Amino acid sequence: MSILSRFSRRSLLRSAGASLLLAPLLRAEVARAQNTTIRRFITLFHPNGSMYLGAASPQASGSSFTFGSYYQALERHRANTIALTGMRIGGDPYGSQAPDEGGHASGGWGCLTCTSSNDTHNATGPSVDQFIARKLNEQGLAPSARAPVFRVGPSGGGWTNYFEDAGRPVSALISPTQAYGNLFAGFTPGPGSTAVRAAALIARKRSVLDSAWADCKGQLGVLPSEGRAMLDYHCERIRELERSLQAPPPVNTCTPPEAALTAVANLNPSTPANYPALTDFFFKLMTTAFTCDIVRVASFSFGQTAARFNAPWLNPQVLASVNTGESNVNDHHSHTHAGTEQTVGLFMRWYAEKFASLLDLLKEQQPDGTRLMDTTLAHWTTEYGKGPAHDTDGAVMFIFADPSQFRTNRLISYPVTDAEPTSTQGKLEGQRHHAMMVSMIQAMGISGVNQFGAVQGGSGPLAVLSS
Amino acid sequence: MRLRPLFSLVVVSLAGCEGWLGGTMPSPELPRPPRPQWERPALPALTQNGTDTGLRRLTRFEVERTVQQVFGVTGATASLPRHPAFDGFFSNNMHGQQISLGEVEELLVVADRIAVSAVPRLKLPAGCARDALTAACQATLFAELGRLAWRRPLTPDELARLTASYAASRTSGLTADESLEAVVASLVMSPSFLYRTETTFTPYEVASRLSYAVWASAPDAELLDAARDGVLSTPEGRQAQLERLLAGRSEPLSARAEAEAGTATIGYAQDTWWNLWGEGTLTLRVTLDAPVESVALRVWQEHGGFEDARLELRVDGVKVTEAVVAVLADAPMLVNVPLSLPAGEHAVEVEFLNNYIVGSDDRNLYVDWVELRGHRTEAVADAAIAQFVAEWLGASRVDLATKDASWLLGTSPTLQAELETEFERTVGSIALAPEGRFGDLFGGDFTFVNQSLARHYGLTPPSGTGFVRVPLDGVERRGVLTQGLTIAAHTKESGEFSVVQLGKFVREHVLCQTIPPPPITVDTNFPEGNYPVDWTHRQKFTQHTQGNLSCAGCHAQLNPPGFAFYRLDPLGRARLTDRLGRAFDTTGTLENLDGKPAPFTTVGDMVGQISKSQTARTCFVRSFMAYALGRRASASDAPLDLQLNESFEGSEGNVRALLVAWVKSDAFVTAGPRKQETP
Repeated sequence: MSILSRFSRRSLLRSAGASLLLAPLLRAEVARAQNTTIRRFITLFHPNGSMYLGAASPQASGSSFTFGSYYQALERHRANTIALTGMRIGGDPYGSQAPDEGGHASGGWGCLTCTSSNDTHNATGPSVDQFIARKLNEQGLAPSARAPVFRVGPSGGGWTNYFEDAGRPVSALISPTQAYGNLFAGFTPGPGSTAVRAAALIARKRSVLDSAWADCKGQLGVLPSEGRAMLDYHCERIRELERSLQAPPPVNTCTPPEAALTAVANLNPSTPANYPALTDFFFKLMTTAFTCDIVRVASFSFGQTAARFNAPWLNPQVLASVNTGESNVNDHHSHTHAGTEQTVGLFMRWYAEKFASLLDLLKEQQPDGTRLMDTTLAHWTTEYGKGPAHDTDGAVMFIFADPSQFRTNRLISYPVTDAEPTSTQGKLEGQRHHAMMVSMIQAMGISGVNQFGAVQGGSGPLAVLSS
Repeated sequence: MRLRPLFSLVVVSLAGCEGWLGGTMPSPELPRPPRPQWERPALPALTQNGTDTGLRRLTRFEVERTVQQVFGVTGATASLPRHPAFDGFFSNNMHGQQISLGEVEELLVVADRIAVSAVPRLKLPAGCARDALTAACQATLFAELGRLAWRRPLTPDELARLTASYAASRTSGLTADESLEAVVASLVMSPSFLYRTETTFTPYEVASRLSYAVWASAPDAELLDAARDGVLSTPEGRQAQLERLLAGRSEPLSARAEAEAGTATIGYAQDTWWNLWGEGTLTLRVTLDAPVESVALRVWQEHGGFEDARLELRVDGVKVTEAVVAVLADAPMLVNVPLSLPAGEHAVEVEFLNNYIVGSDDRNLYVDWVELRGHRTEAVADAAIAQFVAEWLGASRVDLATKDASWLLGTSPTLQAELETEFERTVGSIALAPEGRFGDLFGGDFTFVNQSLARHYGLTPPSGTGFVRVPLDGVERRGVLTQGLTIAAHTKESGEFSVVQLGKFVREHVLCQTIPPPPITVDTNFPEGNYPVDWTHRQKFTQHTQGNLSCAGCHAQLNPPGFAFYRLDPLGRARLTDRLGRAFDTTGTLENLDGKPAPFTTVGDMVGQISKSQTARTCFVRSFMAYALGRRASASDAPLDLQLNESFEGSEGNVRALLVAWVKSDAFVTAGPRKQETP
């Protein structure tokens, strides 16, 4: 236990005597010390894999590692970073059961669910973000089981990366207005509001959900087993949502980002030129939702798996100078197949800069003196490793956390070769990511979970992360 | 059409696509009752995933239409996610409709939004005041709202729950309207609204199956009454209601012009009335978007002399009536006169006939407003059947906004809506018309365009602002398969023309054949740049796909129908040459159309042959069955399959006949195969 945590905030402040100038700093330190348990979780996704493992990616080992040219923007967050290279998304148990565009679909499903697909083009288990949100809520560690997914960029092949459960994909929020409404509708009761009125409006929502739940349960009896299971699942989701409304949100401690919404409300989410502004907005929305404690888990993705992510603000001359074999296309996907380390790097560096800016936001001081970064665990992943053949071995991933929770500022590297996979099972190189998921789940304070995803992935956490 | 003798059609699963290019394969045996004179062609066995869950969630399309019908609210549901197309086809498949937590959350937001818009429009029971709803008023209002929203009468417990919800909101300090919002939101948020059950086929379940089949919306009050009265238990009763629903939904419509908006020869306007003080004539122009059935006006007088004020009412210069106005300002009088006029703008004139003034004894005529009244019949069924066809052909999933921006350069911002209207109008004009034939759906040499869409296609723009039927050449463009919406649905997100997607579309959607996916080890990218620059796209693509033995079999099936679309760009515009000015080669042979090769020269030629093929008709019926049942058909559905095919063939491909056969069938009121219960 930190020495700071043995003192109450009041006594610590008193001991600071008349040095009022020190008070804000002390407030922040005390608050940080009191909140060192990880409470929030973020997943970040970029499509089309890691591609180049040489100088473009993290190199060397230990704390002297370099981020590589693609990820250089993360250098300012080195103290919060664990870089992992040579991670295996593919290989067993993926890719054998459904047509999946040569790894895009199974990599997209597998990178966050650690499961294979079923015959309806869906993962066979939940993605880690949805799983953590559900467990936190079930175990009384979070007020809500919600885990919104924000997306900037196209839907790619149409496969999502996020699943509530087996075969139950999560729809991403792409419209800023819709996303704002999803998180903050009803949060601020409106002009002339009072605490009593706010409580009444929340009670009304509860009443609506109560009524829906009663109706739901009432319908179950007449249904055959398949329909009953389907509707029962719906009933439970109503209950889950109602539980998250039990505690009125702390309206006085945060401000919904209305101004940020106004700036982007009319931007077309499908227009590539709008991606940078929308990315910034979603990051603001996500961190404000954390501050307001509306959700504890959120995800952000640049497109979905296989997305043809266009970025007209990058260097169009350089991108156009490479013939990707596809007419009028200068997107990330095309360049991973036929581009160069330089052209792919234009996209990768931009992703890294944006994710670094999210970490900047997480490090901003909150009204109560804390920083979200101190109590947040973030995970950056992608759909496969290197090579235009969609090799799902050799992926680069990151974990971002407070140094008190994980031993950060290091690179953990697993060896992979340059060989291309020769079968649908991949090369089976590198480190499976199942164990890393278990490590993160356990770090969230969730108990009773020692295995995640397909059973072939084994059980237990990734020991090196806690060493 | 003469019922065809038994003939053998080619199979449909092109499994492996190797070693079989055009030959006839054995037809799978299907359980079916014997038919002496006609037998449907062989199709894939009805065996897969066809269990009936007894539960059907409304699709987003159905939710939107139901909300509009029940609450009069539009546009509130746009943020709901679209259901995924199960098996790549229908979004209403009961096995692909599991709701997620995120959707429940979004529904709560949407239910609130609907409630806020719906409450001001609620028609309260007579004698009820919005701000002081008595218990009796609540009971009447909630029972009727509930009946329409949940498509059945509410139980006493359910009614009590809504009443309690209203009371709790009022007690907590919310306004009357906010409390009514809680009731509306509860109705919308409840599974009784979001799902249809098809379990024991109660009269109300049958009513819903009927209305969602024809309107993609809830039963109206008349259909619910028919259910209550047991009318739907007979095939004839169901057919009568079907015919009524096909005729459209009739709603009262009126257009009012406030007096101050008019002009008068003598008089003066003030606030909300016009005083025709000197035998003036007030003229108002009123537009009603429906045939006029009556004209009404509200008037009053200022009494003077020895008689009451008199007026003459004229519409379009023709006298309609004369009336004596014996009432004063505190009790204005309503004049309502039946008449029959076409929809559109009409001039309504009110003339003051007997002015009188002596000193301060002054008689005046005051007019508050005039109103034209009628009923609008909305062709609700057209949009519903068009939705089915759009889902079948994949066209319902087009979202131009998600396509690469370069694709849309120079196009109208309303292009998506225009393409959707073109599709809906075309399907509507054929599918439900008594004389409509399936063949015209694909082979009809006409389409519907407005000025903007005509310019998009390079057609002569019609006069007027609306959509009109125009002829097509039938060479490059005919029927819905060559419309921009359909082609856009089967083009890459990047905007690139895709031989494979269009070929698969023809094979899998239109002909119900199955093309297996490419082997996982094959890189499906087409590196066009690897081939000589002077080769045409067709030459390069042929070399790329036929040069690999593991690809050649399937591509022999896919490429010809894909190449056929060359002369239509991804938005359906004609393009006769490629970027180097070379004419596109669209010739080819569609293998296995009704069991034999079908050579063609243009896409119009190809779709023309498809439109006449038995394979396409049977595929249409199968697809209709899957959509109507909300699941894949299973072996036990074979009798229905035969019955529907027979009706369709017997009526020469008339969709109304297909609907009648479906609604009158035993299967319409019978549950499908259930999943084996586990003990």
